[in-house]
Amino acid sequence: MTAHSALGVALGFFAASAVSAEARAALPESYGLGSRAASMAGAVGADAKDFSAVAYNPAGLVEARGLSISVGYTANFHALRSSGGDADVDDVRGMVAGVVAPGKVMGVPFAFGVAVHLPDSGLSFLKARKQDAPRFELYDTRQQLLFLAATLALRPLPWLEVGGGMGYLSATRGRFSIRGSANLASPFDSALEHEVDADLTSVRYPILGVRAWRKRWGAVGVAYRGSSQLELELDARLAGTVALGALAIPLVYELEARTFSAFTPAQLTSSFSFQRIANLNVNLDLSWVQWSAYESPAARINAKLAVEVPPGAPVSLPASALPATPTAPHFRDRIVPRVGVEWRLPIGARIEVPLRCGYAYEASPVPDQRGATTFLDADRHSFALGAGLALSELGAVLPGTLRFDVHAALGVLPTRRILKQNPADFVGDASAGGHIVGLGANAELAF
Amino acid sequence: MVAGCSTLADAGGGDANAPNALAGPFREVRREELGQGRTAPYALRDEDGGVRDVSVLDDDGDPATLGVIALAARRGASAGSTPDASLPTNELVRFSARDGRSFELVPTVVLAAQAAGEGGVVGAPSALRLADGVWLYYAAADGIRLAHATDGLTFERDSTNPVLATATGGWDEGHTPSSPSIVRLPDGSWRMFYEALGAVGEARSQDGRQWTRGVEAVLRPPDGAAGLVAPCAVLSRSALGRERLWLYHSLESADGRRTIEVAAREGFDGPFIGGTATVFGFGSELAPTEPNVVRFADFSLLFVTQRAGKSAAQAYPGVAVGVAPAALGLPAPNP
Repeated sequence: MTAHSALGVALGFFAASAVSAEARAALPESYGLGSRAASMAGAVGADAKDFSAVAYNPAGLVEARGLSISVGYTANFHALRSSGGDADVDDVRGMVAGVVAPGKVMGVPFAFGVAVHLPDSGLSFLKARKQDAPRFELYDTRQQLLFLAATLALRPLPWLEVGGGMGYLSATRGRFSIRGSANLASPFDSALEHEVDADLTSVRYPILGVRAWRKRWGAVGVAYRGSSQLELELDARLAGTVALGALAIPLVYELEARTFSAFTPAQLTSSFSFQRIANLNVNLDLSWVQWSAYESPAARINAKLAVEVPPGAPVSLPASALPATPTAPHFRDRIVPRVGVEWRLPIGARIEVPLRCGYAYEASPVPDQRGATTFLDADRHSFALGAGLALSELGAVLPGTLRFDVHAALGVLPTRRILKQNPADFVGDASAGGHIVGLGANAELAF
Repeated sequence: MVAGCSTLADAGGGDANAPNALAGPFREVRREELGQGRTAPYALRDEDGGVRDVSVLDDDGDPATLGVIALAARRGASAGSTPDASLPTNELVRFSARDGRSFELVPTVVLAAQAAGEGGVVGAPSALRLADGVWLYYAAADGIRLAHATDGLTFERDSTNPVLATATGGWDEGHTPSSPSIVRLPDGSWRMFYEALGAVGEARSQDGRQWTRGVEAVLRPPDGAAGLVAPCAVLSRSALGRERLWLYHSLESADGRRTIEVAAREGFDGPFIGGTATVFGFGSELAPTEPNVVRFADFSLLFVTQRAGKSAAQAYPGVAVGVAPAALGLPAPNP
């Protein structure tokens, strides 16, 4: 690809995304993006050079030697248990795809990358629960969103690479209004009009990265991803008259609901990739994940009911509902270590078989759930394995490289006990744990 | 060109086997959940002659099966007259249900107010199934009394009656206890919770006959409330094995409204701590009282005595049923 065409693709994408309110995204951080990264438990911050660099460290995109197109599929099966029973948390399955387009501008190498994870279940799925409803907050519907991000990378100095871009979410604002007259005795005589007004507005979050090389040793990198969450707003207003026999009772009911969902925390990752030994990459990532910024997913509800009941009317009003104020969840920041190893086994001049493994430990950010909320979660140990096959220079039709990668991962969540402080808690004591099995495959065509 | 489409999302997963103490809040049972031609949420109503204050007992002690027997109080009809539900109850009747709530239509009278000291009153039963049969505690004019039936039908009064008489000292001195609820702890000892002076007292026993009152009420109404009455004690074990003693009760507000609330105790001693929400009857004008809770493997049923309806003609009592977890659908009624 020429510099102009690559730049054109990049600018075109950014121009389109800037006006696209429908773009939605959530990073599949829990399962990895692409089989190479997933098989090293995500420890690729200083070593990602395919489309997965868009998520892990966009500076790595500039390592691409030519236009590459990746497509694959990943399936993650939840076997999460609460108090001994299967919690039936939805599996996360979907297609992953990405494009990396390198080039040069005024002699400076650059690359553009875009990555997407498209869940089988749909583009977006959110579920609002009562505040006190138990839930696997980190693995439930939070993962059921389209991931979409686009980044650029530059190499201003031979040893320095920088990159940055945006990820996208969409927020929803809605207004629902009903007016007219409702006849309780004869519903068909009711005359009601309703009006729905909903907007999708985009939420963007930054993805930044830098990587520095030292010859014969490897690379170090730092990457930052901003936080994101969806804010769902619903305003409803019911204004009119309720007819009860000969009585006409005017009323106004107003409801405001604000909900946060699909929170993805800000994350700062420092990475090291040791590449002193030929055909061997040993990677270590250390991520600070700001879960302390997590806001309660419970709806903030404010409702007002104004009714003028005529004296003597056989109507009693319900007790006024107090505004619902969610309890602060007090999640904790966490440091996540990740280790990944890749050993590339050359077979002749044109074939290479990489073997990979990885491990990550994610301490639960959820504090002891002794009060009103029951966020189910446990520490997670992730073990991953993977392999690949890279075929180079297959002929005039395919002068680049064709890669296949597969991975399998096992996440183990040792059982965590939840002891409620109030013996009269309606949820009661509980336990949470289980495991997650991830499988996936990727194909990449690099020109 | 702008094109769009939409689909209705499914409910998604993540809610199966959610931890739940099966202690409430309760929702009213629905029409399709109640058999025997009963009118939901009433398991017992006018056709049962003003039956009230039910004590429901798992008929085999196995929470995996739904069969129950219910002992309830009512005002028996005099010859040639209809019962007057406004008068104190004077007989205890027994119903059974194979599904835990759809009671048979014709009950059996198991105890009538005939003994001296009962003052023509028997009511507010609290029954336990033990190895030697059913032990039935009930309220009478002279206090809490006890009767036994090896077959669950033929009750014989205990010779020690009343087992808890009018207090001669302490916080409820001079007052006759009523509305008993009795549980037997795993160590074989007994606890009785009873109503007096608009509060709940506790008594302890080693044999179920000789009782020692506590020096203070264990549960009193909060500021602004008129009374805290009709206790119902339930034992449970949490998912992590911690023992709980739940105490359901009816809270009466100053304006005459009543709701069913719950408090619980860690283990079998110590203070009761209130629940975080009303378990039944929030906003209701039917004034529920005399709660009784029976626990099954996957859900609990709450039986309350409340007005049969809002109209003046429905001022007589009925026994309504609630279920927890509220999101759960009950298995089909039988029959």
